[in-house]
Amino acid sequence: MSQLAASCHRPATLPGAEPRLLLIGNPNVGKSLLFGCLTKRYVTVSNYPGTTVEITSARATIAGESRLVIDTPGTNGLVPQSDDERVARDILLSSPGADVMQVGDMSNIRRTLLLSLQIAEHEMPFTLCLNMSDEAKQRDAEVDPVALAAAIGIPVVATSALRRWNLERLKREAIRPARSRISAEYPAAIEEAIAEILEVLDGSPDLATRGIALSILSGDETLKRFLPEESLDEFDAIRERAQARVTQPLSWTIVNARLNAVDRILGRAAVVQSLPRSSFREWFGALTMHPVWGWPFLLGVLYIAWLFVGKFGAGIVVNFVENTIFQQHVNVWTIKLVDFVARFPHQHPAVGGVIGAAYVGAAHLSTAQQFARFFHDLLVGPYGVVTMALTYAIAIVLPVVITFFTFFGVLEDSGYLPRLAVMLNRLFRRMGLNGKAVLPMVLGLGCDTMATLTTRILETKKEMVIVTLLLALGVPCSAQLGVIMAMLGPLGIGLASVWVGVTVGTIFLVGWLAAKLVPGKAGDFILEIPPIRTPKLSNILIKVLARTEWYLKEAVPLFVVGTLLLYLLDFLHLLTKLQRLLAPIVVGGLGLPAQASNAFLIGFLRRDYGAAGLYAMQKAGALNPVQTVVALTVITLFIPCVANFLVMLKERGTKTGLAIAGFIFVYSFGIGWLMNFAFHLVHMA
Amino acid sequence: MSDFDLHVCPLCSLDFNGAVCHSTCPFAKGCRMIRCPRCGFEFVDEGMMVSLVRRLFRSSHERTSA
Repeated sequence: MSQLAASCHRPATLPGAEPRLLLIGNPNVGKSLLFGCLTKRYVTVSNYPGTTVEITSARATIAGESRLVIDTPGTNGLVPQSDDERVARDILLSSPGADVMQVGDMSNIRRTLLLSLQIAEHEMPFTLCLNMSDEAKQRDAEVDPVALAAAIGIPVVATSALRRWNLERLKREAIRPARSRISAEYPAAIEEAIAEILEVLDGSPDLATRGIALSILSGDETLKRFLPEESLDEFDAIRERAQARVTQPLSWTIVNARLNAVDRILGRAAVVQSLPRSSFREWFGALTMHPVWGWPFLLGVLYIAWLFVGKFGAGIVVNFVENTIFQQHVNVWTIKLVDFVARFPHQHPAVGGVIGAAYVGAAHLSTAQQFARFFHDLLVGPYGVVTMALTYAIAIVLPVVITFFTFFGVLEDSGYLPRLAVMLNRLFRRMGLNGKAVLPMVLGLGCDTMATLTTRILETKKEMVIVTLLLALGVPCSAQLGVIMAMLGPLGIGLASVWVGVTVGTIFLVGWLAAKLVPGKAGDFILEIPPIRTPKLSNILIKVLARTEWYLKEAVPLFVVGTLLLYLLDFLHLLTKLQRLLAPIVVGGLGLPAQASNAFLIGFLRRDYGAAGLYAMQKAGALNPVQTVVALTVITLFIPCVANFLVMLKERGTKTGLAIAGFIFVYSFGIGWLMNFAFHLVHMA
Repeated sequence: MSDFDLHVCPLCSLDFNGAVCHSTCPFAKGCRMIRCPRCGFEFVDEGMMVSLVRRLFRSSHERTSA
């Protein structure tokens, strides 16, 4: 591999000259857990140079010898289809003399051997660890490691990293890798092309392997950085000549030959696995991502979410917590306590026998009384920390997000989310958008801010800008989706459908524009689909508890900051001026009460806080159903939160970030204005 | 959270350990989100409340067993 080290085109490598043990394997085979078992501590997580792909490494003593153990990103092959796979391949090619340990899932031996074959074709000595052997046993998919070792000519060790089983033996074999004998039989046209490429690469002994030749023939563009520049045209010519002699694409022919080779090995090694049994779960799993039936299923899921979160959570639970616990007890006691401590002449009128934040008081106060009123209003005034921030956060938003987190937990544990990603991928591909754009959109359901950071996986700046915009416009994070559903609850299915239509329509419109502006490659992303599972109640309860704690810590401080902002604006008599300033948009354009400006103002801090403000107005009868759906649509299309805004500026640059924010502002209010106009036209407003 | 706590990604089912929230996020410091190293999906790590409940259940279970 000295040639690689000398080349100015060589990819960035990890530092360190000590002997290495590379763990390489398909995604989801317990590789990281095995890494943890082998290294125990002093783990370093760093970005692979020039990428955002994280590499974990640690020094460890393996069977008495010191090694830098490197956990490479999961890969399905050595012809990379993603940044992760490229990094895994690059580390492998840039680590001459390293001990390579392939980690595979014993219950998926065909996929494991497909990668083994490629490592063998790169002429690298390696050891094969068949992990998750306990699961394979349960699924009647056990493989005889001795028979397999004899068939492929390298050490094979069955392990279970989860149960810490057979790890000592694995360590002993890990530092004694061997070169495998396995090979595939390719058509004559490919074999001749391999020979031609090897002849060109004759002066570069480290590159002259069948694996490199096959990657060139497979059209691996990422390999070009490794290859001698003067030979690139010649490789293209060889590939074109080979392609002319086979009917199928070369890459397909190569993969097919490899699969045949794997099947032959499995036959020889007498390790035939039982075929997966068809079951109701499999049928159901296929139905949820069926190109036709998947959509009604998705609508059904949304309807249940609306019933559970919107009707039950926002209706029954919020009514109890807000009206009974907060309005009748918590707020009343707090107001009385603050009135007792901060004395100034005033009276809270009782409505229905219960006092609230509103009060009437004397116009002229002494300095001490003015100070008392400041303290009083800060805690229990109309923009008080208790009467507004905590009431919104605990009485309105918390019951809603708890019900939503419960529902979302069921979706996660059932294995539906990856199926939803497959459905969206299909939709986006039809729109002509790059398949890679789908992943950040799905991730946005977890956290929009982080998903914006994930847009780095996209290839062009245009794609990044458009997906950032799409995320901020149409993908509410889980907490925000919960509050939005709560507001949709009382609206009825008709007006709720208007909200769904406008939001989905926005994604389509921007997606369509994106497809026009950014042709891109309609590439796929690989996402392993786990089986449909029955969610475990204890698991869901733990998730809900953890998320609730996180929400309280993350969102409530911002709620308090937002309330303090409103309080200060009110105290300085700027709030009414601001409302008057926004009146042409909020009152004239959207047809909402001037007070709704406050919700949009705090909505910039967190979209769910703004939505909670609108929810409180809706409950107080200040918004009719049509005004509610208009306001809700505007706040949904608004920037998700201040963190998202900061990340937009950071990732896309100040100019582009501000342009995106400006577009979102104009678009969201523009859509609200159009909706208000349309409702007026049909005499609904 | 220890580096060796095992997490299972709810999106792609990867089992992994030690992948914390995106370091470049301005709110990353102190954020309890865990990011799947393969697909990037973020979810919340078990916090104090969960540990407390787990401890309560464990101690009551131990008392019952004793």
